[in-house]
Amino acid sequence: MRNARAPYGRQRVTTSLSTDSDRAQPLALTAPGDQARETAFPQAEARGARKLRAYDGETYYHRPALKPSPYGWLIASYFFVGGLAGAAQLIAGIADVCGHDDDPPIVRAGLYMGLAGILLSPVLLIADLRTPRRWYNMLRIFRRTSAMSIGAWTLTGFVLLSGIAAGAQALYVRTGAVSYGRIARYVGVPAALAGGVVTTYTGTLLAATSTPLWAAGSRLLPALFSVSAATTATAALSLVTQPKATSASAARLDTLALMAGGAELALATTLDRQYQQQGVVTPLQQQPTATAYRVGFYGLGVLTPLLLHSIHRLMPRRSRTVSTLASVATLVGGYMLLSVLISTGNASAQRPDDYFQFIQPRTATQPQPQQSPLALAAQCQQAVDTLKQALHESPSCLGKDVDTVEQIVTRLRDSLIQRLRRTGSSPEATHWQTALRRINAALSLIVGVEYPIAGIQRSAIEQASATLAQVLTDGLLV
Amino acid sequence: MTTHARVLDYPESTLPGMIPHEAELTAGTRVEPGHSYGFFTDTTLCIGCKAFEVACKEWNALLADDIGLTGQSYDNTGSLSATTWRHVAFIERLSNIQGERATTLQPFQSNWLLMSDVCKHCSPEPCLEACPTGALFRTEFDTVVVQQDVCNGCGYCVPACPFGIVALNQADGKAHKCTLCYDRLKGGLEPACAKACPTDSIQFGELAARHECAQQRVEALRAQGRDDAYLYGTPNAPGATGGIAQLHAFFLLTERPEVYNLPATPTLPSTRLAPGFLAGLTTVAGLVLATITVFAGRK
Repeated sequence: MRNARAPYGRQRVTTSLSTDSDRAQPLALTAPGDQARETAFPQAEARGARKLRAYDGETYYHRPALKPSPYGWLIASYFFVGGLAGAAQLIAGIADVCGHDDDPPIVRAGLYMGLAGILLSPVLLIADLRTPRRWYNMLRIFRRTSAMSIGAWTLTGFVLLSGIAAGAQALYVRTGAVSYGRIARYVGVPAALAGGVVTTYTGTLLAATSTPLWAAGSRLLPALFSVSAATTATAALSLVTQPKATSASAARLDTLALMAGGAELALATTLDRQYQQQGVVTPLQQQPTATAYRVGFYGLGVLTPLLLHSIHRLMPRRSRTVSTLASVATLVGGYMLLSVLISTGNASAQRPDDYFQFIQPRTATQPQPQQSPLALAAQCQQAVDTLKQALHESPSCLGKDVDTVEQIVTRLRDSLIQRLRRTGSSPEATHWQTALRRINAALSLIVGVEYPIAGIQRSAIEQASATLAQVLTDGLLV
Repeated sequence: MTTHARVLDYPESTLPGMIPHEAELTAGTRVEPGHSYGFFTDTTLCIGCKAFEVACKEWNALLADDIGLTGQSYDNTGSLSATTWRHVAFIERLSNIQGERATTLQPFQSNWLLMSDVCKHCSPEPCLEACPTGALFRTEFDTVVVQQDVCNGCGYCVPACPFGIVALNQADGKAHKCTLCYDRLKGGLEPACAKACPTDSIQFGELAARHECAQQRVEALRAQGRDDAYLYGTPNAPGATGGIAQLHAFFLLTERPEVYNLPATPTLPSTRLAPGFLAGLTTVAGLVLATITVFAGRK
C-alpha cells in the first residue's frame, strides 16, 4: 500500500497528466505498445542509448519553460505604423508608375503617410528598448540570421529613401521644378520596395523565435502581416483622400480593400486552423483576448469592411459614410490583430504544455486510441461505488479504498484533459470542462481525506462521492 | 578524480596569491583559449544543496530574487533569471503510480530527481543569432556571453532562446545570462558553480573529454541496473535537435526531459527565417500584382 500520507508522495497525483499505459513502469524510458510515439534518435541509439518513452504531458510544476518576449503595445504600435507606412508607400509607388490621371491625390497621400511613418516608427522602436540611448548599436553589425537585424537595416533604408522621396515631392509642389518631381519619382520606386519588406519582416521576426504561438505560424504570420498592412494602408489612404479623390479613383481603392480583405480573411482562418492542429490555440481562446480577436479583429477588422465594401459596390452612388465606416473599422481591426498576436504570444511562451506538445516530432503526436465516453462514465461510477463502500469501513481498509479512488479519478481526469486537448472547441467541450472542474474538486477532497492529523475526514468522502455522482447524473461525461 | 601533483606545492591554507592555472588542480584541466569548454551536469549525483547557486551569486555579484516560498518542493528559486544563472529543480519521485513507496535505494543516492539547470551555451546559439547589436558573442573558450557595454536591451534574445534562459534585467536594461564565468576562465580558474559543487555533479572541462566521461558514467549506471540513464545535449541526442548541433552544458538524465522542464526536441529559431521571408515576400509580390491590376490605366 502507498505510504501516501507523506505529502511529498503525492507528486504524481497532483502534477502529472498521464495516460495509464505509460505508467506501468514509471521510470522506464520505453513503454510497451508505444512504438509509434517514441522519439527516435538513431545515432544516439547506435551508441546504446534507449528511445525516449512517449511524452504524456508532464511539466515541472507547470512552470514556464520559456521566457515571454518583452514586447507590448509599443511594438504592436510600431508593427501597425510601420506596416501601414510601408504598404502606403508601395501602393503610392505603383499608382504613380502605372496609375490613372486622377490618382495623384493617392500618390501624394501615400508619400506623406510614408513620411509620417518613418518619423514615428523609430521613436516607437527606440522607446521600447530597455537602454534607449544605445539605439545606434542596432546599426553596429548586420546579421543575416537575425530578423531584427535585417529589419533594422530595412527600416533604415526605408526611412532614408522615403524621406528623400517625400522631401523631393514637397519641394516639387512648392517650387514646381521638374527635377524635384523626377527625384521623387525615381527614389519612390526603391522606397516602395523597402516599404514592401517592412510590411512583412515583422511577421518573420515573431516567427523566428521559440514562442510556440509565433513559431507555429512561421509562414502564415509574415503573409498575414503584409496583407493586414495592405488593408490598413488602403483604409488610411481612402480616409485621407476622401475629400479630393474622384469617385473613380476612390472606387479603385475600395476594390483593392476588398481584394486584400478577402486575402486577410483566408490567411487568418488558415492560421487559426494551423494553431488548432499544432495545439497552441488555447491562449487565443481565453478571455478577454478571445473577444478582442473574434469581435475586434474578425468582426470589425475583416468582416465589417468586406460587408460594407460589398454593399458599397451594389449601391447606385458612392457614399462617403459607408467608405469612412469601412476604413475606420479596418484600422481598428488591424491594430487589434497585432496587439492580440503579440500579447497571446507572450502568454503562449508561459504555457509549458503548449511548448512541449508543439515541439514534439510529428510522429509523437499521433492520435491515441480514444476512450469511449461509456468507459469514462464507468470509471466515475466505480469511483462513486468505492467511496460509498469506504464510508462503512475501518480506517485501515478505508485508506486502501481511498487510494484506489484517487488513482481512478486521476486517470479519469487525465483522459478528460487529453480529450479536451484533442478537440479544442467542440460543442461538448463545455460539458467536459464542467466535468473536469468538478472532478478536480472531488480529487482535492479525496486527497485531503487523510491529511490532517486530526483523523479521517469522512465528510470529505461524502462530499467527493456526491460531486462525482452529480457529474454522472448530469450526463457530463457523455 | 586523482589529485594533481601540483597540489602539493600549495600546502598552506592561506595562499600568497593566485595559483597559476588553478583549474588544473580543481578540475583537472588547464583553461586555454582556442579550446571548447563546457559543463557536464550529472543529475544522478546532485543532492540539491544549492551551493552552486550561492557560489554563482557571490562570484558574479548577483542580487537575490524573490525570497518567498513557492510551495513547489524545496525549489524556492523557481527558475533561471537575469540575476539567477544556476537553479536546481526538485522533482519528487517517492512512490510509483501504484502508490508503492520505494523500499530499495537507486544506484544513486535517492529517489529524488535533482537537476542543476544552467545556460546551455548551445552551438549554434539561438540568442547570438537573434542579437542585432552583436552584444552576444562567442568567446575564445567557445562559450556564449552578453557584452554588457554593447547590449541595448532590445530583448529579442529572450523569446529566441528555446530553453527560456536569457532574461532582461529591468533595473539596468540589459540582457543577462550565465557567462560560464568568462572572467574566471580568463584567469585560469574553473567556473564558480563547478568549483563549489561538493558531489562533482557539475563537472567543468574540455567538451570532448567531458563527453567521454559522461558516456562512461552512463555505461556505469546501466551496469548497475539504471538502464534509463541517457545524455541530453550531446550531438544527435535529445536536446541537440532542430539545427542545434550540441549543448556546451549537457546533462545526464534518467527521466524524460520535460520532467526537468527541458524541451526534448528544441529547434533553432533562425531555421524559420528563410521560409518566413519567402512566404512574406511572395505575399508582397501578390499584393503588388493586385495593386497593379486595380490601378493600371492610361496616364
